[in-house]
Amino acid sequence: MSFAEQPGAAALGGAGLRIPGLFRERRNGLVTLALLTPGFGGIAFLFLLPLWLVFQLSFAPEGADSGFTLDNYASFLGDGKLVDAFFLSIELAVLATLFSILLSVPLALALRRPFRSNRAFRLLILLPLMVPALVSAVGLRLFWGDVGWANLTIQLLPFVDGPIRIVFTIPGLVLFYVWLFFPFTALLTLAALEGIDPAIEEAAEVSGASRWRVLIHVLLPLAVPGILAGSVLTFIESFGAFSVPLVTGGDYRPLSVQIYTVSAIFLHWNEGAAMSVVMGVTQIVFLVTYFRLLRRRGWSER
Amino acid sequence: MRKGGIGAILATVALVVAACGGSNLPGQSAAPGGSSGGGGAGGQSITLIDTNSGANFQQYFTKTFVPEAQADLGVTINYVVSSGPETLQRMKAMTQGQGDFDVVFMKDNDLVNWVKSSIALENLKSHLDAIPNLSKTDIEGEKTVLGTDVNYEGALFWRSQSATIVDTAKIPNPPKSWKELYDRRAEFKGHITMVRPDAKSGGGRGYMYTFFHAFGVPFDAGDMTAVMATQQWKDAAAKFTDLTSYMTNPLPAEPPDMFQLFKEGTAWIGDYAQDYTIWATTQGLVPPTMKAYPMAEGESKSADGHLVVPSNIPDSRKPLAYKLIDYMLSDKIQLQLLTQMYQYPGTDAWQRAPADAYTKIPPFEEARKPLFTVTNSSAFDWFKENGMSLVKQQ
Repeated sequence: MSFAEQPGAAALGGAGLRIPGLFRERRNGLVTLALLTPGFGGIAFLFLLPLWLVFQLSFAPEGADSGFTLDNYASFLGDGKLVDAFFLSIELAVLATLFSILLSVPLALALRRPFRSNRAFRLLILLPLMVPALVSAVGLRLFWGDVGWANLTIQLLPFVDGPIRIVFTIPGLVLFYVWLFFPFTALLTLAALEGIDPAIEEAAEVSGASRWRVLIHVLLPLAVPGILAGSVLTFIESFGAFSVPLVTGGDYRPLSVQIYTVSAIFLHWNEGAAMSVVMGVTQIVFLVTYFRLLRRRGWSER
Repeated sequence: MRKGGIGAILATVALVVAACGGSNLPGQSAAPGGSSGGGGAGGQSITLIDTNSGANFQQYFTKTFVPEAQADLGVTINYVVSSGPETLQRMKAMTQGQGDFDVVFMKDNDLVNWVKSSIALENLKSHLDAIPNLSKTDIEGEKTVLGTDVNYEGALFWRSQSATIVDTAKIPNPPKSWKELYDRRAEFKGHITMVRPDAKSGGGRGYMYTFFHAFGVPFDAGDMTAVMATQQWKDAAAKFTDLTSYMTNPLPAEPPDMFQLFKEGTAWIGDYAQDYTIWATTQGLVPPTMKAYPMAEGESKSADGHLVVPSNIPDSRKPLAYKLIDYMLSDKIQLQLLTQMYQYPGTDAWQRAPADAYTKIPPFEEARKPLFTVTNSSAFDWFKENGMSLVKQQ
């Protein structure tokens, strides 16, 4: 309803004078602002402000809270060990994400069909999310260790002579990352698949498409947004994983562990802050690139 | 919408105000491991701040000491785990007569820092009548701690040290010296262990310092540049690097990981805090056949534990604080340190130790004799940041 159509508009001089509507809009806006302020304030105070402080610290000389220098970044980027840790983080995150997708898609395809114990399996997917990461790390360390249950079982095989080193290796870390973080991919993939109208699938089958072609040309393309959304979360979590590599990584110490070492043990807080900024920026770059690719392919709008 | 909008604003404000409310009064911190605060009305209670204990002793204090002390003394004991820096800040803010904690248990270097920071602490020697068990300690030894005059402001509660730890089921005839360990390294290939020197725990750095000390490195030759220029350093560093190729691969990230290696049978011999390691045998964390002993060239003396009473607590509470300290220095508690926690007492209670007190740890005099004090703390910093560069594993 335009202002001119509102009751009393004529008495107020028509469209040239919009005071009652303006008051109503302004009051609604103020109410909205008042309701949003605590939330935004909380986010700013509890989240953005600490991030800003870390950012500021990264440019301050070591031991100082303020100032400007690039020495912390130079120290990080000039340390081959730390740069290796950066690339190790990326490697682990990418591998964990890929394997999570490979595991999640078949699992989700199976779970979308009703069968006995379907609910139990769905709950099992949530199990890694319910257990604190450090507890998981210790459990994985014990289970997959040289004398853990996994190796005791593997050594029952006739062609296995001794324990297989799983802990303290990159394949082991990828395995542990997948166990911990695949639920994100699995759950969102499952949600995407369950959101597909069954009529589309039926239409394809009625049109003569085989089950395989339905899967490849109908289901998976429609599920891609969910798969990708879940894999983004898996990547983020894997990139920043700390407890698992600290306990089970051995000499393979990704960036998160190095940040902890540099900051909390060496007490080089400023250098640690610089490493944290690099880590955060890297994740943002990955995400932005990722979503741009999605948009280009049009998957995000389906 | 008019009423709804105002109501929504009021509700939001009410929620924010309620959320901002806290249960702690200024000056109190809800430190983990206990409650804080001074005595409540109508009942005697006392607050013991612990800035020294590791997980083993926190469990001991919580499960054993506090219940027994409360029963024996008839007071409520608030046991609070805190950190040295936090407690120091609280002490600096403590005004006369307003202190809310009564006894602090701390490391010797923290005691020195507090004294140098002019924190007002009670001269315990002048209260010998209220703390008669203080006479069982080396009172004059508390005049100076780590070379600093602390004017008897601390009571020695325990003595701590590192030791060589060995699974006697794997090594029935362990090496008696670091030199012997090095010479027999092939015999123990893959089974020698130490915590990473860049770990949170200082165990690995202590291992390296003790090893280098055993091979004659003159740590008091000056700063690390001067120390590292000596031939002894170069020889010891080469030997250490060689030894690491015989160690467990990878080195454990933290002590619990090291304990797990012992439990798995991968690790057979290492060097770590004696009390924690042997206590771990009672918890099933390491094999029950583990024992501790000092190497002939010496083991590093760890931080001793001292009890202090802030001068700014209300005078009416000081007698209770002295009573608690006296109780903690009693033979009952001091012998518990020895027999249950494998920690040497601060008093002479070791002279009255039962015969079976030394089945897993060496007798007091044997253990303390080869101890050396770390004289170059910057070496620890060097080992922390650069120690892994000396580790060469296949």
